[in-house]
Amino acid sequence: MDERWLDLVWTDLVGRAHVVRTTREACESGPIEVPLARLAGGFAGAASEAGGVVELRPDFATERALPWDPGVSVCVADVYEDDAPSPRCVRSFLQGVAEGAAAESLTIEAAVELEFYLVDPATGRPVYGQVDNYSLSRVEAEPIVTAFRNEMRAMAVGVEASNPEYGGGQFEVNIAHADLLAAADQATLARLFTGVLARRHGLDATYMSKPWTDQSSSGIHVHQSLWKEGRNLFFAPPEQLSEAGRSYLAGLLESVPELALLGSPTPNGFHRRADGSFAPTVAAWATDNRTTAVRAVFGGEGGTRIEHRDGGADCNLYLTMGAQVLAGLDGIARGAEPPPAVTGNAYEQADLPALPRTFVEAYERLRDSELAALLLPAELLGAYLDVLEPEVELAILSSSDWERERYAEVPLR
Amino acid sequence: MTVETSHGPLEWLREAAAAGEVHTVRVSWVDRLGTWRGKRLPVDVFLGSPQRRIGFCDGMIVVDVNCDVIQETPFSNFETGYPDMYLRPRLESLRRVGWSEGEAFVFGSLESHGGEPLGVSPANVLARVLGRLGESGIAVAARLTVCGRLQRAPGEPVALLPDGRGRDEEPPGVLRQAAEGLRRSGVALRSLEAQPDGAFRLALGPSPAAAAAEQAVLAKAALKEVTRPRGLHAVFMTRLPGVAAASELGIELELAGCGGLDTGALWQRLTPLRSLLQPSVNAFKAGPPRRPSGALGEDGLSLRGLAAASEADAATVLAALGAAVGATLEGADGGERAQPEGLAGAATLLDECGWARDWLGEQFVDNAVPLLRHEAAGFAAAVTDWELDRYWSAG
Repeated sequence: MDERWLDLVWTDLVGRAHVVRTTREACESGPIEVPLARLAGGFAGAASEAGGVVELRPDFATERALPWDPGVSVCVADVYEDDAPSPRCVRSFLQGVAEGAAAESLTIEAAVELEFYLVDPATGRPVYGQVDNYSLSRVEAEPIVTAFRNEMRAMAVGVEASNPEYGGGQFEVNIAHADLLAAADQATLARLFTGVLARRHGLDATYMSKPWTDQSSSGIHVHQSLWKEGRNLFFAPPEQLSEAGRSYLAGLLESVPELALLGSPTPNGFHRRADGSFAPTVAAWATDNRTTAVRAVFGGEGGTRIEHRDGGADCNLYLTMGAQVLAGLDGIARGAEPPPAVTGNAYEQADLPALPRTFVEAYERLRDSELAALLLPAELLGAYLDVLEPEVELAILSSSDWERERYAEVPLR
Repeated sequence: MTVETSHGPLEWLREAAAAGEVHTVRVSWVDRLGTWRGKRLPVDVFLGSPQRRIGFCDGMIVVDVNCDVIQETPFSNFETGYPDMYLRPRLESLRRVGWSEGEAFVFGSLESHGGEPLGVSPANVLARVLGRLGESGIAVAARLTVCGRLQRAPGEPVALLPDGRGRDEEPPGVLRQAAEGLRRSGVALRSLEAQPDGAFRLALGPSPAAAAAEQAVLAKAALKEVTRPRGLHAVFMTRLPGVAAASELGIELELAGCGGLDTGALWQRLTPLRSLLQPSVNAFKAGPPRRPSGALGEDGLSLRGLAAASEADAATVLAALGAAVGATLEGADGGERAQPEGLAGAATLLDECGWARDWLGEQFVDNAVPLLRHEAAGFAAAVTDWELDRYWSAG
């Protein structure tokens, strides 16, 4: 009998990873059931009205031992309902996207950049305040980040670099490219275990998109390329996008405004959008320009790729990445042609299509989007909109610290 | 423990990784203010492709002391879109980070997407200046003395014992720990001196100028990194309140192949470079550069008595001094200039100095000047504690 514990990890509709501890023997002897609210409860979670149960089916190909916890392995799971992949299972959705490409002998490679803050639990603020991008001597939190890099690699999550980001106490982690599903799995595990490892060192971690008004936001950048028979279909020598690459880019770019809610599932995510914030405000692309939503990056056949820069760090990785790829492939299918690449500062170009600036606007754009309806399974899209619907109302109704500070005539907490 | 010097640095790293001694490689560069920057890579990632270029946002080479980007730097701003710059590792610089368990580092050269050296990189500018002096048969070595102060918080010095320990510290103490770490990193550390008022001095070299600049960066980094986890700070700010002496970067230059130099003329040429030697409004409070003395030896000329602000980047300082030497030897315009009133005036002198542009490069000067002016303007707009104390009840 294998006595190892097995932590099953699955992702709910709003992008949160959940864990249930079981054993391989238990998985093989009968269904592992969890409350439906753990899939479709939204931010209300267990307090939601989502009743019933769903079944977890581990993908044992993803099983890896936890280096810091002898006797425990972790495994990514798909969610099943009625003995079939749940239409609300975001991982099954992404797997379907990858399989659809594979049916045409295409492989999608993706690499994810994660950004997060390490937080001092005593203050609730970043572990240090001064912005020190790329600093090697800002070592206050480095033991945690080092442990994170090393532990992730030990469990076959391809973290290949890290650095302090453009916020005090903010870090960026680069994960090596992998096939689409593996890239999303690895990024999910990395995001999940950032907090676990931080707490082992007495700190907290947050992937919230914009935790503080006075600090940089945290985003997620997805680098993507399309391969067939070992060749990068985006690459055209010496340094340009192929016709397929241009069409993929066109499809991806067209989707950014209407699918923005997929990358930003919270009202907070829209506080990222500000001129000069390095988060995009317009649907524009360019060659290696950080003011745009989409970047074409060249590095020979191996390194030529398209980077989608719009997602918040707390997005649903599976849903976001799957929708992006579908949008790109749709661009290829249509032979779409991208608009001219932007030169200069995209933040100051008023003629470019604006991205939604609020959660409510993004919600309505996705809800009313013909493109979303074309690309995404109807049940999944409907479930996503349903689970976020309460946020629309709550976002309108909630009072913030900012409002109290600005408008109250007497001190309020 | 594996030893770097037994064979090539890459072979050493492979062995050290295999032995479990190194898990991380810092792939690094130095910014215009001497801050050590880069990314940390797992050692197997680095060894998988040790000469691979690593991309960085290019705006970070032209930021101010708070890492803020400004829009007046032509090299990078929102109009250029902050594209990537690339770091090409120089494998011969690969060493152990002697003060941090399990880490190695490598310095690299910053270049454009197309592979051209970036003219805004101080290391590249120093290489340019040294190369040009080399064409005249002059090789430059430097002895640098890094000075700073150990403080618990602004205005709270940590009293140091002669052996480099803080008074309340158990041996070996942070300074000794940094010094021993630097030695493990191959830094040529000649001496370490600690004072009861928290002042410290690390004497380095002599080393070829480019290596000397990197060693100064490592010295500051080691001191910062061993102090921060203890809640202490190695401070390189030039003037601190209540402290009479300024912290400085002491410099002695050995100019092999140089048969003689008018040190008075050299000194005059330091005036338009003052903003590079003293790159902050605080550094200006140390007063103008001292006049150096020169002594001819068998191999060439020794220049002593030179100093820059402790907070200045050593590569920038050595490039500036090398440029001044070269311009003096060439007889470039050395007309006497009045000392600038402040950082803004000094920036203008640099901006208008033809030979400085010629030696240091247009790109370097064109980006340094707006950053210096930005710093001066920030100070001009700020209300200081001194003003509050003095004028609060005025009127």
